[in-house]
Amino acid sequence: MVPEFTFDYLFLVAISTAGVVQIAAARNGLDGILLVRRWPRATEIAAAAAVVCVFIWFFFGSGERNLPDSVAGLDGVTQGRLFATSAGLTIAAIFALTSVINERWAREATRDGGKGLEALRTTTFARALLSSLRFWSKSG
Amino acid sequence: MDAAIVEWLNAAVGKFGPFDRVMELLMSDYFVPVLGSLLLIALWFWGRGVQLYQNQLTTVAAISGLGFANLAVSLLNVHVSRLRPFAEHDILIAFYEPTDSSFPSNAAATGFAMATAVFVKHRPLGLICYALAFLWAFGRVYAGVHYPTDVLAGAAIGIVASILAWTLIWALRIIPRVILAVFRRLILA
Repeated sequence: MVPEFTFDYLFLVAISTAGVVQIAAARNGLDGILLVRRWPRATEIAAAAAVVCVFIWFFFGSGERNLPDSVAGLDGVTQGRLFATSAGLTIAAIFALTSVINERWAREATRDGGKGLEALRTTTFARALLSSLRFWSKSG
Repeated sequence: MDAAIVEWLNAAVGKFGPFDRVMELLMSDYFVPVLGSLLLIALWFWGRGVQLYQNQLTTVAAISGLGFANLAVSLLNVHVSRLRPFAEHDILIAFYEPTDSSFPSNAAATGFAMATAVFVKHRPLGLICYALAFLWAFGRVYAGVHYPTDVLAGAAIGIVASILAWTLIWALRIIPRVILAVFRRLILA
């Protein structure tokens, strides 16, 4: 059973990470990982609102937050580990979800977006990964 | 002198409620670290071509700098033990009562490590990070959980740790380049 405080922290990190990734994607034309690709500006605004709201909820709306790690708080190492886990899983979920949502758009795309994350300008994560691994196995 | 500054700042605790609420947020164990980490995630996805690569190097430098700073603080804590101001002086504590050594400040080391790593490549953004790190450290002195010398030492450790991280990245540039190339193949960088 995850303690309530830990769960709240994981939720804060997950929502704010999702928001930040959507803002970065919208601002940098990484359409392949946008949850609402048709409206990047609206996505950006909604994502920024989500980040602000989850911060307000965590720090002002859900109880005392200045707690010692000996009671209910998190020590630095645990905090770092939980942040990496929650943020990593959230990014993985966004990559997986947008690979499904934007599949049709990616199938019809004709331009080459570039290598690495820059490929996500014109295709989804799943398609970019498959294409990269195919290229790797051929050249290897 | 150290204690006098804490007592002088701490005298304001409880006098102006809204200011105390702001300080509680800034001195929290979670506000600045989460904000800083989100900034590093944003940098990882930000930019095109060389700019994207430089931003990702900044994230790598910040994570390495944070690692070095925390290692240094942990090693110092084995050999140095200093009581917290609230344990030695008659002051009003505006935070929980930490049980570890007051010297050096882990919060200051973390905040300044992150700010320095960012400042090397992004001056305006780095200055904002420095301001946040300063407010985080100031909050801890205001709350009576650190002496000014604790946060000065922590800040120095953080700055040196991130300079060391950047120096290693520049000196061993082939290693981060190879790591990022592998990440790029996996569409993660």
